[in-house]
Amino acid sequence: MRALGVAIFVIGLCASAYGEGGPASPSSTPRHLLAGVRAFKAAHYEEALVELRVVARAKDAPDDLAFYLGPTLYKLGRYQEALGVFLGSHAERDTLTDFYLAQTYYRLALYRSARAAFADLRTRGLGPALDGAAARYVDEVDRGYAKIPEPVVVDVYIAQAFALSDGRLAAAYLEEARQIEELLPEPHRRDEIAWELARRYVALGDARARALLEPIAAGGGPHATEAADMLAKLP
Amino acid sequence: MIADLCTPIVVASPDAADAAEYAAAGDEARAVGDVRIAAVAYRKAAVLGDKRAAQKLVELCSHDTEPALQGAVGLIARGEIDEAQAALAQLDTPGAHFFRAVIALRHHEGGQAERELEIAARDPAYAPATETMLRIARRSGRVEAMLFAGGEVDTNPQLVPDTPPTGATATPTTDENGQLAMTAVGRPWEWLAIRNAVVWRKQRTLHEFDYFGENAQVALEDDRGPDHFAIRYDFDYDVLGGASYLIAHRGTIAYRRELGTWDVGASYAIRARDFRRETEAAFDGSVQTGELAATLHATTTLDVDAKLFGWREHTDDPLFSDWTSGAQIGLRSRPRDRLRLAASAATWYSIYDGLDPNGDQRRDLHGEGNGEVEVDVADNVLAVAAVTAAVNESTIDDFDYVKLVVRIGLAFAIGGP
Repeated sequence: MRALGVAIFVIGLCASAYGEGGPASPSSTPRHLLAGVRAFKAAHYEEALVELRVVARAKDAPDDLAFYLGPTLYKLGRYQEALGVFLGSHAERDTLTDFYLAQTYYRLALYRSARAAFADLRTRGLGPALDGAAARYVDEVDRGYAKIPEPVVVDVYIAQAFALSDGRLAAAYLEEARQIEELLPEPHRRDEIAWELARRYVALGDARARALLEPIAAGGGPHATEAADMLAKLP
Repeated sequence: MIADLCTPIVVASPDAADAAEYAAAGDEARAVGDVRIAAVAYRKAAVLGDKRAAQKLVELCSHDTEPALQGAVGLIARGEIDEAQAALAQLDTPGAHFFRAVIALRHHEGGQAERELEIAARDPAYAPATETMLRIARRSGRVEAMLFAGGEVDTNPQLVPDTPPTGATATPTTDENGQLAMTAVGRPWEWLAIRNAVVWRKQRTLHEFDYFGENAQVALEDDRGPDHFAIRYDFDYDVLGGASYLIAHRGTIAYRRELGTWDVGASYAIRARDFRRETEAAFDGSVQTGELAATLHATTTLDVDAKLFGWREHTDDPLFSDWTSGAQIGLRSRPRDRLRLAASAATWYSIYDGLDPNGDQRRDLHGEGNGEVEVDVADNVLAVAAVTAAVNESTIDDFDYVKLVVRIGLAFAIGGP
C-alpha cells in the first residue's frame, strides 16, 4: 500500500511539474525519490541515502520521507540518526515504518520502548512473517526483564540521555528510563525523569509535555513554579 | 575508507542542475564528517559533469588513500605524536578521525576519543575497529578505575608477595581464596599520574595468610613523543594474617623508545623493605633491579616481549643477599575482537652471599610461566582467567618449591572524561 502511495505521490508531482510549469523547470524530487527507492531495494543504501538527502533538501520533499530515510539509515547501521528521523516524522503512522522504528529501538538497547512498539504493532495486526519476528523480539525483551532490574540501569539510561544533545534522542532515552523505573519496587528518580522529559517535550512541542507538567506544577516541588509557567505557555 | 569510490569517472550526460543538488548533499555530508556519503554524492555530481565536485572527490580520495593518512599513521607508530596530530588536522576522513582517537587515547582523553570514533564509525571499513576502540575509550580518561572480584586456587599460599622464601620450606597446603582488588589512577596533568591499588585476599582455611596489600604511586611521565621517560615513587604496605607485615618504598626511573615495529627500553629501581615482624627481620634491606626490554609488534594482533634483567638483593642476614640475572619472553595477542591472550615464561639464576650452617652456598634456578585470557563481556566488564606456575630449584633442598595458582574473576573498568 505504501508503495502505491509513493507511486501516486511521484506521479502527482510529475503531473504538477510538467502540466502547469511546463518542462522548463520541473521538480527533480520525484526522480530522486524513485532513484532512492530503487537504490534501497537494490541494497545500495549509501546511494539511497544520497538520493534521499537530495530529496530532503528540496522544498517539495514529501512529509513521509522518513518512510525511506529511516530504514536506509537503519540498514547503514546509523541507528541514532534513524531514530531521530523516525521520531521527527510527522507523517501518518505506517506499519512497516513502525517495525523499523521498533527494530531501531532494539538496536539502541532501548528495549522497553522496542517491546512496546513491537507489542503495539502486533495489536494493530501484522503479516505472519513480521508478526513472528515481533513476537520473538517481545519474548527476548521479556526474558531480559524477567528479573526486576537494578536501579543503576535507570541511572545509565538517564546518563545517556544527558549526554545527548539531540532533544528527541534524549527524550527517547528518558522514556526508556521511565519505563524501566516503573518496574522497580521503589522508584528512585521518578520526579527527575518526569521533569527532564517534560522539559524536552516542551522544547520539541510534543503534546505529552502537558501530562507530565501538570502533576509537577500541582505537587509543590522544586520545579512547581517553572512547570506552571511552562503549562501556561503551552498551546 | 572510500577507495572503491575513487576509480576514474566517466562523465555521462551533463546535467548541471542535478549535479548541483548532489554536490550540495555532498557538502552537507562532508561538513559533519560523513565522508563516505559525501564521496558518494560528489561522485554522482562529478558523473553529471560537476568539475568542482570532481575536485572535492579527488581531495577526499587523496586524503583517504594517502600518503597523508599513511604518513600520519607511520608517525604514530614511531611515537611522533605531535607531528602525527598536525598531519591529521589537515584531514577530514574517517581514517583521520580514527587515528585522532588513537592519539586522544594515548593522551588519556577518553571523551575526545569517543567523539572521534563515533565519526569514524560511519565508514563501514572502520566500524569493526572502532567498536573495539570505543570499549577502550569508555575505560580510559584522566581518571580511571577498575574493580576486580574473583577467586584463586593456590597450591602454595605460603608464598605470598614479598614473602621471604622461608615460607617455601614448609610443606605447602593447597587453599582457595576470594579476592577483591581495586585500582584507581588520576592524571591531573598529562605528566603526572597518581595511582592507588589495594588487594584483599581471604583464604578459605589458612587464615594466617589472609592478605591485604596497599600500593600508592606517584609518577612523573613524559609520553609526548617517541621517547618515554618516567620517574616513579611507590609506597607499599602489606598486612598478613591480620598483622602489619611489610612497609616498602621504591623509586624507579624508566625509559622507552618507540621505533615503529620495535620498542626498546631500560629501567632501574631500588626498593627498601622493612618487615614489621621479628620473624622476618633478617630480610630487611634493599633490592636494586635493572632491566633491558624490547617489544616486537609482530602483527596488528600480536606483540612479542623480551626482557633481560638482574637484581642485587641486600638483606640484613647475608644468607639471603643475592645476585640474580634472568630473562623473560612474553606474547600478547588479540585473536578476536573481544578476546585477549597473554603468555609469558621467565627464568632466573641467583647466587647468595652467605653460607648456610652446613657451609654450602645457596644457588637457585627459578622458572615461572603465566597465561591469561581476558574477555570483554561488556563495554566496562571484563572476565579474566589466569594460571601461574613457578618452580624453584635450589642447592639447598629447603628452598625447593612448586607453586601453581589458578585465578578467575570479573573486573569492572571505567574511565573519563
